[in-house]
Amino acid sequence: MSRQQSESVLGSLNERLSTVLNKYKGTRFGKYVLIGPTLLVVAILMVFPTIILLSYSFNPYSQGAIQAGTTLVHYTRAFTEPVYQETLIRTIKIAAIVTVIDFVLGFPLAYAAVRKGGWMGKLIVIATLAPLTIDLVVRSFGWFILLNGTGVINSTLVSLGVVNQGNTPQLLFNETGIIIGMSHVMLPFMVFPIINVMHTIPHELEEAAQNLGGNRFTVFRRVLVPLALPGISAGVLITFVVSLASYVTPALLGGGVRVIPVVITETFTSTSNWPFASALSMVLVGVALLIIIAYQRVLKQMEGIGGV
Amino acid sequence: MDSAEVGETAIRYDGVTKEYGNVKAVDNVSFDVKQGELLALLGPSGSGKTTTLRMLAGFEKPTSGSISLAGKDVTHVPTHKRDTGMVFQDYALFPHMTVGENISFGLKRQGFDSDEIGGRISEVLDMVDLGGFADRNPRNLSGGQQQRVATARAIAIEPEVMLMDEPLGALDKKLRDQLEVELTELQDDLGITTLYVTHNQEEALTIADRIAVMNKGRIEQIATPIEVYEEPANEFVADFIGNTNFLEGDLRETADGRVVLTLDGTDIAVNTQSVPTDGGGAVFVRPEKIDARGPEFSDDSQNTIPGRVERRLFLGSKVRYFVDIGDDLVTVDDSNKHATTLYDPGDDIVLAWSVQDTRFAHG
Repeated sequence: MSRQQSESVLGSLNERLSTVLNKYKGTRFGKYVLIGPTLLVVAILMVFPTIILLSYSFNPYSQGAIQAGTTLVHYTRAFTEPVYQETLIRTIKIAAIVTVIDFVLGFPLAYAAVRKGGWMGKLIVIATLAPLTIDLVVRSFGWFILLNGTGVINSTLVSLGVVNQGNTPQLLFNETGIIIGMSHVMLPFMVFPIINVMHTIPHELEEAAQNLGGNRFTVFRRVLVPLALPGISAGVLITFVVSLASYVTPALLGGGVRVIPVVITETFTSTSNWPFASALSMVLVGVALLIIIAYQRVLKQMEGIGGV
Repeated sequence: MDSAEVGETAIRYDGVTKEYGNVKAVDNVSFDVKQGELLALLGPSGSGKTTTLRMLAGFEKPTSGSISLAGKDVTHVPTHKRDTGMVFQDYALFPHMTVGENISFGLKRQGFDSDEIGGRISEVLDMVDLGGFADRNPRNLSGGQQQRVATARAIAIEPEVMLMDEPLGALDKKLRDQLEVELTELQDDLGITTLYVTHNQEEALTIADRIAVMNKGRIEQIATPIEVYEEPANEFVADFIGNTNFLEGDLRETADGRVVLTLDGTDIAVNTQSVPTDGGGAVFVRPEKIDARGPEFSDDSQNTIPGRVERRLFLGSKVRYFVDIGDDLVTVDDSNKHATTLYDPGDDIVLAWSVQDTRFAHG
């Protein structure tokens, strides 16, 4: 089919669809028809599996098999056994550090992308988006090349005389590796919400603040951050929650250092202790929910103060 | 205000040029503004007036030349260390702050304590007739009120100079007229040196002590409103400020030293003081300087020329005629006095105006 043909087919489809949508828009039937497919997908792919996991997490497990009955033993184990405690804390800590790093890197990027505009702004947007177009595994192997003991970064440090040959910093297969890799992966999730909100802040407000005696930091703190707060909070939330649930990057770059999603996967696959793996999943979901709720409370209060 | 006496130079632009790529937005501009003076930068859009203003605020860096403020070269001083108070066209009020917080923003940067700040907020709000508005949200104010808040915010920090970038540009005519008067009074009372950008010539004539008429990045003329209107330095100024009739004809000097323009067989005497020794230009006369008289009128002490009324516009305070004088169509504004005779289209009349008002403008 030629391009013209396909465009006209698409056009007429579009027209027909919008006629149908307009007809039922505003009616209760129309509303459910419109969101129905989405609701169905969410229900099948998210709610339903979560309920199954939740029910598994209360099943006893013994002799390598799931037993009938109800028990809280998996949750007790998740919270009391030191290795899981440590892993949970490490997971939260890494997600928090990645979020902070991405904010520190992402805010200036978003600011520059919007304020510089032109080809410079486009370049920033493309450079930020580029990692998303490369598969996670490929990207992680890219980091191997850069971060390993004789990798690009370390050999540069050695040749610059910053560190000795035998004393290069361990950048891979530890928390540092996970943090570096995830900060890279998560950056777009921080940058794009901030870019969106930055577009709505008139540049004149910054000029007015400078004119009234505000230096760069004051303008950032008193004008940009309060006005960009909706975008910043979205970026922070998405980055944090997605980091919390990250699997591929920590699995590849963490080596022996593990985070909860990695432990969950291992438990599911190698020990087949599904109830315990389910309980760990629920703990992770619970932690994420708690943090989201607490975070939104804090944001509400900040709004009340008015940013001054 | 206390660092310089009235009459001293508060602002000095010295050979200031601003280039964007190959475009000269501001081209070798030099001028002084005296302490307490209000100088209007007037020109069409793209004339470089806003860029000129923004360079004093520090928002733009001159490509060459220098700018000084109260005797100090501020060309390379960052914005927040320059003592200027700016009022933006769209006011640029901080939407996440109350009116009071907007005003306190600058005061906090100057290190005042909260008691002083509170006092200063109500003081400046009273000055702009917005007493009691400190806790209001700027988003809920009318355009005129927002403009006043922006002005209050700028004067609160007692800047060396006020910078106003089309401050009334977003308001309707009635409100603009009212605020023009209020701004001038406020500026007089405070004696604050002001650089005022506008594209509105009426506004400039009303409020300015002096007007710098800008075109294509250059200052065409810098003079009092009366001089700019009555004795425009060149064709651009004559054309841009007010309405103007340019008269096309042969210009020559007579044996007795008079300068005469021959218009379709009629000799028009030109104000010799305005005629240059060389260079091109055009003879012009303002519409309100011309009287519309009956066809029999004659007066040797004035310039007179017969014509026929093409169109008549009744504008309330004045009557505007478009009169065909052969080669040209001349605009004539007659003030609407009780005794004014109204001519109809097609009427033969005589136009009369003084030699004094027949001026030459350089090309």
